[in-house]
Amino acid sequence: MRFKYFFSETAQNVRRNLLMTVAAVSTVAISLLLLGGVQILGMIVKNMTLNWQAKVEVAVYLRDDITRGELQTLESQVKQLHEVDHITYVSKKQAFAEFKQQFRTQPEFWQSLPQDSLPASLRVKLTDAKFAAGVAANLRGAPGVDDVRYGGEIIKRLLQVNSLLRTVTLVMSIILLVAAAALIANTIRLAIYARRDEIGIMKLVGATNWFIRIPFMLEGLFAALVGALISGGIVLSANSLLFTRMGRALPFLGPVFSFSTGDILAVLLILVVVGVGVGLIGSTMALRRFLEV
Amino acid sequence: MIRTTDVVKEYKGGIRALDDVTIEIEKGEFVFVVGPSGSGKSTFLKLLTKEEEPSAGKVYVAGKNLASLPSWRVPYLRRNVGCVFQDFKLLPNKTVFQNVAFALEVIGRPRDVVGRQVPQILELVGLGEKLDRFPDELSGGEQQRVSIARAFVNRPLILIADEPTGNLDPATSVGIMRLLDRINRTGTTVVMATHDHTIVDSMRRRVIELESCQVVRDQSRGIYGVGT
Repeated sequence: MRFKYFFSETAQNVRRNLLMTVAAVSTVAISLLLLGGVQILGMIVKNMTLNWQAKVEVAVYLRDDITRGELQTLESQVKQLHEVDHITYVSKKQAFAEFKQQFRTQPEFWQSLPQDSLPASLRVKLTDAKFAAGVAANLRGAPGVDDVRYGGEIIKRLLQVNSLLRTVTLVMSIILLVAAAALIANTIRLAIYARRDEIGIMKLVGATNWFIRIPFMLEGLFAALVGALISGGIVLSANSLLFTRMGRALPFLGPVFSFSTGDILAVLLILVVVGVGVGLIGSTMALRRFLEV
Repeated sequence: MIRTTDVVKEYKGGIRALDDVTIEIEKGEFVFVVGPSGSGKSTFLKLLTKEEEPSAGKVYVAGKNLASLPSWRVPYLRRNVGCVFQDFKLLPNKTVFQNVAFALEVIGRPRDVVGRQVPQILELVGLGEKLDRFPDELSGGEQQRVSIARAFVNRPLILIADEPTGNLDPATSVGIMRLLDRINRTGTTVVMATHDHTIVDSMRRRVIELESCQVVRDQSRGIYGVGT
């Protein structure tokens, strides 16, 4: 009886100011979508970092005219460094084969290149990615070495761009969340105003404040929850439609767009929890000064 | 049942509505509160439901000091104090039945209780045939009967009526007074503010007269006023 009452009251309120409810719902959805975007961006960057860190190696590109003796000296010199885990020699042919494999979906990249266009190199795998800069400096300029490259710079840039993007998106989503709470509060205020006579009589005959409040709080929660579900749905479909395709289309980036089910569920949970929180805050804002006896 | 001691009520801006009002009303009494407009009648009634709080003095209703009643208990106080107003305060989009049922539903009474008590009370006020009418299809007197039914359906200890006949013609008013009298005979304390001479003089009940915010007369089996 009581639940039926609460739900029919809530449904009436929602119907009565549908436009405000739609506005509140879409603001919640958009702001939560931004928040979800922040989460996913974080996940992408985490994947990228892991991916790169596992792959961090110092690539020592060899001059085409390196002698056998120079190569042997270089190899034994590198192996002696305690930061080095192991080294691999990659011949010109192997380098080209790898390149072809990496860009197998874009044959135009390599079709016109001669087989020996890529330099031979020593791949130096380190015990820890942080030694990359030191080892690279050490090997630069050694006899027979053309150039030394490592992925450190890219990681650093990536992290900088990521933190900037996260901050901007987070600030935007917080602003929008505040707006969403205000819109929910406004929706509820309108609903209260539309029913002020009934509320007056409810107080008169001794309805408790919670009894009067609950339908309005449910309305706020309803708007927030629908918004959260919409944004969650978009995140889910982005995951299954967009990201898996991007992963397939850009294989050279590695598995940056594949997220575990747990991670996706965590994002959805955050969206719902924050959405419900926004709904509660908005409702409380609207009901705070209301109903004081 | 009702006791006020040395009650002073001043509204914001220093406007005084009640001054040193001490009144005691026993269970089952029928009391008229009379006096000209602005004499403090309505303010006195509002103190009894804690709609207003006194600036000084104490108000006891049904044995409780209202000043120490926490605000979350106020709804439970109001379930024991039914209210009837000059302007009926019915919900225009609800039928007679729904208007009365609403008062029970919002205090959480189960559906079968509502289904049993509402027709009973509407029969009592003489509207047993008009359950499905809307308020604007009823006469003023009938609307006031609905409002009384709503105030009484929960069997409150006290019924407060603020000028219940103020909008009604004399013949209709007599019917409303008969109804209030019947309710009083069930043991319910009735406190009614009015300035209808004929009604007060014909009922011969206790009369408390307020003038310029003070009690100037408290008379059992009184009439409206000596000089008026």
